[in-house]
Amino acid sequence: MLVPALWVALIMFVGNFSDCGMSDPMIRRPLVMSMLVGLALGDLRTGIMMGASLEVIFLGISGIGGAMPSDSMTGSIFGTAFAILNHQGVAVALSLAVPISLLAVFINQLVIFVRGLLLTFFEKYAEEDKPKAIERLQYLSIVGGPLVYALIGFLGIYLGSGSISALVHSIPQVIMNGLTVLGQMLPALGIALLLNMIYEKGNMIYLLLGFLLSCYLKLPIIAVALIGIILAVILSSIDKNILDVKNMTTSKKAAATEQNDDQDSLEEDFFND
Amino acid sequence: MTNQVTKSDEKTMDKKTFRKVFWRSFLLQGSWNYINGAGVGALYMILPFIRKLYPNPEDKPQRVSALKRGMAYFNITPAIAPFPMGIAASMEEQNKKLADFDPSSINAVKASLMGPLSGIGDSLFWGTIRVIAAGIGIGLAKAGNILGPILFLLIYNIPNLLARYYGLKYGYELGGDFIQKAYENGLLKIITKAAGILGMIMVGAMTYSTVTLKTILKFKMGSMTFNLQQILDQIMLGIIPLSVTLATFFLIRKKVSANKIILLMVVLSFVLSALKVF
Repeated sequence: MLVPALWVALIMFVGNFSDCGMSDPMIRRPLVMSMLVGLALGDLRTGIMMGASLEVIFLGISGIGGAMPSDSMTGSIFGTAFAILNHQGVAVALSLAVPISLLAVFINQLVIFVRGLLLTFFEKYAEEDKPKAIERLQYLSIVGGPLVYALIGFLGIYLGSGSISALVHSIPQVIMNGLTVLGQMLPALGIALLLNMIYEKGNMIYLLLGFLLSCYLKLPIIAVALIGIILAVILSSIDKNILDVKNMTTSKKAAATEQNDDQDSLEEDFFND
Repeated sequence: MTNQVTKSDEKTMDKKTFRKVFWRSFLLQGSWNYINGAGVGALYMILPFIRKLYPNPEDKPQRVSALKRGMAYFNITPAIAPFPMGIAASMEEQNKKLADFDPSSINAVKASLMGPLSGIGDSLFWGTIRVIAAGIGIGLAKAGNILGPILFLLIYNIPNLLARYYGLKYGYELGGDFIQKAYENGLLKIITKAAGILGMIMVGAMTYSTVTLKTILKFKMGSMTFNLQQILDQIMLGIIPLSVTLATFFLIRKKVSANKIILLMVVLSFVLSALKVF
């Protein structure tokens, strides 16, 4: 287990580093992380397919403003690694990934907490005019978090894989069926969370449009995206026209009231005289 | 507030400094924490610019106040961050040039842009581009195609890089005036709305392709067997995925936590699969 553990540690490092050191170019998403795990552990195809299933589940879960309800990266890496190392199906791996991702949030909280403590030093360096020291601490802070993740990745695989595999082998069929259904149902949560992010009053109708396009017309997702772009451009150009008219009338009104003000002040001047 | 870039004398942001600030923008989130957001990262990002602005030892007081100012609380969609930082840089330059410039306006502009720009950035990058990228990526990856993850990264990161590069460039060149105008006259709202519409369409399409629940329930009526899924398909295709997703969305709107919903789903899937519904 030493070699797989080292690989997983490296992938954990890269994934977390991409978040804080590369401004999150989506490398830490399940789609990419599971592929890398598959590549490293010798089953690329399973890795890619696991990534697709996990990406759907974690689609709505994002780290906006630092509030992260679950750590999709750690969950996906461990889920995929265990699935490949123990030769388990996707359903079992999915059911492992979700609880792991919930637990792993605590690692993230710990790292953020420690970074908060560094703030005193940053403030001190700014006060003392030491930009070099600010840079050095920033680099340390960027590498520190990923190192914690790498350590957890190594220990999780090195110590955990054997016991998890024994556990997985003893699961009865009824539970396996339940896990499969769960795997089909969990994506609904991911999508609902995403929906919550972009939902605004009145735009639910567009969800239905996208659904019908892919369900009845069987359009591929790229076609749906292109139709969506065209529709968004049309609608926003209408909005733009309305806005232009509105701005024009309000500026006219403003000009008119200004004129009135001028007259008022003239009158005042007249009466004051 | 005067923040137009005076183009007569040479700019502090030369090509070399621009390149440095651009690359540093990727390390913005490095020291992210709850107290300061990405404030430290924002300072780290424009440090080369501050150095260029105040290079001499005798500039120390101005440099120290610029350092302290640059570290104020800052939190924004990372891909959008170079834009307000470009504005902040151009304002720092004004601050040095103009005697009556109020330096507190730099952070005021940064803070007032954070909200609306994050709104547009989140819905554009998280709600739209990422969803399109993921939709296409998942579609291919489901079949084990390596193009899935690769296209996913490309579709997200090309706009990401362009927004960073041109955001920094135009932010610095335009100063704060332009965006505040767009915010006030409502143009930003339109862009956000359009991004939201596109996002909803994509989410709708993905609901069908990713929530794959199908019922296996069968009724026997005399010699006839009714397959429930077939009946449902005649009413509306994909009615189960759509209702399950909307029901989940309803629970989230009712402020039920994601963890509770997961728990509910675990219970439901075991009970329903034991009852042979799914």
